[in-house]
Amino acid sequence: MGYSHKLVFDERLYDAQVLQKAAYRSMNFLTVDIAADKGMFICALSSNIGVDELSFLSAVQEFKKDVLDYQLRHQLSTETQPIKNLILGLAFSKTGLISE
Amino acid sequence: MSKFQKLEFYAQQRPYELLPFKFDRLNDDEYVITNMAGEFHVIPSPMLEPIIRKTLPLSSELIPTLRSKQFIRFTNEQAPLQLLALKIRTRLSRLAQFTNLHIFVVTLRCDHSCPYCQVSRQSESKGEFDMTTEMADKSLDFVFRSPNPAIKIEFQGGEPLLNFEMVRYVVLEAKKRNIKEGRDLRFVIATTLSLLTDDMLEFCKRHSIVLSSSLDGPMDLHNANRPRPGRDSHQRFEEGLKKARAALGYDQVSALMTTTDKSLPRARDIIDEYLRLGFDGIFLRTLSPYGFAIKTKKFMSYDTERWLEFYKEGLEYIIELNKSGIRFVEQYSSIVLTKMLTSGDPGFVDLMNPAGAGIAAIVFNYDGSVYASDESRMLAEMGDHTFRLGNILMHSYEDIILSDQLLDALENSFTLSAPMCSDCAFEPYCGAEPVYHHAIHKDVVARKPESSFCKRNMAIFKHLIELMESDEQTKRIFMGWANRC
Amino acid sequence: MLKLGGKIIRIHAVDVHKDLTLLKVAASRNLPEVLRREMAYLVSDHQIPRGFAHYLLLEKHRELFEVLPPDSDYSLLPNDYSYIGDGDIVRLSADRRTIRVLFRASAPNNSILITEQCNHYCLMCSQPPKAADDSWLLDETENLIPLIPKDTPELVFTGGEPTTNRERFLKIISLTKSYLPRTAIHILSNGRSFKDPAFAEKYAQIELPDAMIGIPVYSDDPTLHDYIVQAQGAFDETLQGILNLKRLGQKVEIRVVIHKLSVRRLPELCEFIARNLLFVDHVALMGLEMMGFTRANLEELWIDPIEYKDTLSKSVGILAKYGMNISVYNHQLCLVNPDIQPYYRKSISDWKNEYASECQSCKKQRECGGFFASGVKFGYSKHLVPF
Repeated sequence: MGYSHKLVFDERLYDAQVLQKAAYRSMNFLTVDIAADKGMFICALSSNIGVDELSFLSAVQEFKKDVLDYQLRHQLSTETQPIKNLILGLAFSKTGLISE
Repeated sequence: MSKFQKLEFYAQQRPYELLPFKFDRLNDDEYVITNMAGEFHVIPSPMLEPIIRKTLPLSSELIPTLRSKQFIRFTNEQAPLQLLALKIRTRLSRLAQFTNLHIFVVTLRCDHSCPYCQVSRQSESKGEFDMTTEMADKSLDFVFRSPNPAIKIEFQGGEPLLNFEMVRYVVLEAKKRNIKEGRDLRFVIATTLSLLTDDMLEFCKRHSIVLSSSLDGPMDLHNANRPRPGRDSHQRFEEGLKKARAALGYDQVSALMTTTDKSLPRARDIIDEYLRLGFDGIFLRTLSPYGFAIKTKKFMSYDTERWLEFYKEGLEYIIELNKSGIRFVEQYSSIVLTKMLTSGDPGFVDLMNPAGAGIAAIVFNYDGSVYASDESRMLAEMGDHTFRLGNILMHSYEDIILSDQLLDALENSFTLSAPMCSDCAFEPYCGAEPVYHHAIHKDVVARKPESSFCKRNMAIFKHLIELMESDEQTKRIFMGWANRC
Repeated sequence: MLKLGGKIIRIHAVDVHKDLTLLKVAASRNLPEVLRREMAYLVSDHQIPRGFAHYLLLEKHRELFEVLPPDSDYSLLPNDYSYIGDGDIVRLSADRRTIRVLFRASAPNNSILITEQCNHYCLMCSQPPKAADDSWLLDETENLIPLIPKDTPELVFTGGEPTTNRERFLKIISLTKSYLPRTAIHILSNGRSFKDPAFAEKYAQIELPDAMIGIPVYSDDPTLHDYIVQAQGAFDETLQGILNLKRLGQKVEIRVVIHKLSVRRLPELCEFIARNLLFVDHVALMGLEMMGFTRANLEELWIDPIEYKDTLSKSVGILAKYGMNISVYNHQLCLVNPDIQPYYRKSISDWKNEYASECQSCKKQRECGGFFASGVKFGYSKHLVPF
């Protein structure tokens, strides 16, 4: 018997990539079909074969937390990309004395 | 005195800048955050978003530590950038030295027939499973092509002592060549010790060869794991150990355990056996999925959860021992802790990123074939030659090192490019493991949510962090292990 | 505590125009005449050799002035100076009214003050900075170095901030290399000048054979460090200086003065040092000196060492686990835990040691560093317990 659940995310608040990453992370328990409709992402979550209801519900909860986490990661990563390149440049430079 | 300014005068007024870091949930209440150099800090879950959205007040208790561990900085500060860069550079510097470990499989013959072994059950007498001198010479050419100033040659098998003539040949040949090369050259023989003779010990002593042996636990467990005609594997091990230590020096013989179903309920017994025989550490290994393990479905009969219980129980006991003043290390944890607590690279082939295959280790098989790692060889014995890089008699150093099999595997398994791995807070502590993932999942990257390698390692990382957070003394003990004190 | 400088009782100067301000002291009667002309003889009995540039007479030997060679330059010194000995170097002021002992051959190490100017204003500074031009100190140092015995084991350059005048500092370092190639040199600096890669490079190029720069870092929290040294941006520059010096292969020591402000994050600081500055050559953890600015800021700084002994043990433990070289200075043995023992050093400067009245019966007095004289006078732990 398969279980399912539907979640809706506002396109203005969440990136598609974020939902995909969260989906990837949950794939041991469920699969996620993502569709876009009128500025919203519709996520249809379905349990994998052999997953019981409790495990599925836990996995749905984890999926929601993961979406929040990945959204934060996205913001963090975008903001720190330039300084990350600077630091790596310093790390690999011959003189190591490049200043900002 | 009015000449002195108050503390507030020196406090930062403008908002801070974020430095690159990663995070993951440690448990229901906390997150682990890790900086670019792999240093971690544990924060209460509600603090994560304010830190990233920069709504955290500048008077917060967290600010000094976030600065000091380079998760944030204030504009124009240069020291945090230079310190991070230096630590990253230090961590990666070992990579440039390239291959250190060269494994010579001198024979497949063995006097044991262990169910989990990757090598076929050959009898002791067949000569066709031995390495030839021509292969050995060509392999040594390859060895000295490595730019690493330190070279380790490890003899494996089967049982290398069954082809001691080849061990002798390679050692003498290598030393001869090293007169000109001037490397830090070391030798190890992986052996059960059951066939050691005085002549062999004499040779080992003369050339400072170290022995690496196997001890699975107390006699009943060890013998059950390692059947041998005579059913006396453990006794022979113990005798061989005494002899070898007397001849070569107490520390010149190390022991590795293999974990099987039978080992899982016996963590304390196994550690006690190591203590009894005077070892100062143990490597709580997982069961490899290769060789006979899969053939006989041994691997299927235990799962990651049960192994983790075994590991945690063993580690708990070892920490107790340390607290009562006994010096005893758990080596896998030690390797991980080196990555967590220092900028050093423990150089452990199985937990490297980029993968250790080819870069850190290479295997010359008895039949002339060259493999990217020990696991690659085991896989080949089961019929999967994906990671066979070539043949020492037919291919050049460049052919082998630059082969697509190797480069593709390295590139594709690189964790910083892999889904889920690239965002993972524990990525600095983890390894790429392309061969394992290929073996189980038919994909060098594999889907990490399904990977027991991922599940196991993540559980270990979280466990070690939680232990350090909850007990100061444990943290101190771990610092010692991480620095090999 | 030894008196190093002060008024002379009386001086008989034959030729005040003779520019002999720095003089090496001799107690030996047998020196050749060519050397006597440059030195000061320390009179101790009736046998007084002729031909010295100057004679030093202690008050307790004042009757001996009658036996001095006729027309000698001499100074009559208070008995406080009876410690002066062979090989010491003294400066007589130009007006011949004061004497200062600049170098003591018998001391385990000698400190040379090269300037009192400083870009910091540490709350616990034992040598409070002065803004006035004191380049004469640099001149004097340049004259002093050639006189210092070549077998001197160790020498400390201090201030203020010794690198304030960069060119003169480099010149002094060069002179030191030239005249004292076998002496271990210790330079106490806040390290900020070395943030400039060109300056760090110039220092490194001198290639002192055995030198270490001691640089204070008081907290892993930049704001707290800046506050303690009373200088904005100090932490960031000091760290950059340390990194530049280590990149050039120079020896660096991290110094931490432990007081109420720095002790709170002391373990975090030690973890910071172990993770970020593992390559430094030495870490020195020091007790508070009751001199200079400390007394003005006592409320904020003073903490009885017995209250932080466990924190100290924890901090030292971290550095030790990472295999760093550690020394603990300026603490009394009864106020630290036994695990500090391997790192406990008796003292820095012998001219500052004293003991409190509680210490009279203590069996471990000889192993203990005691106190700075300032400590005995102005305040120390209420928990002293003799062994």
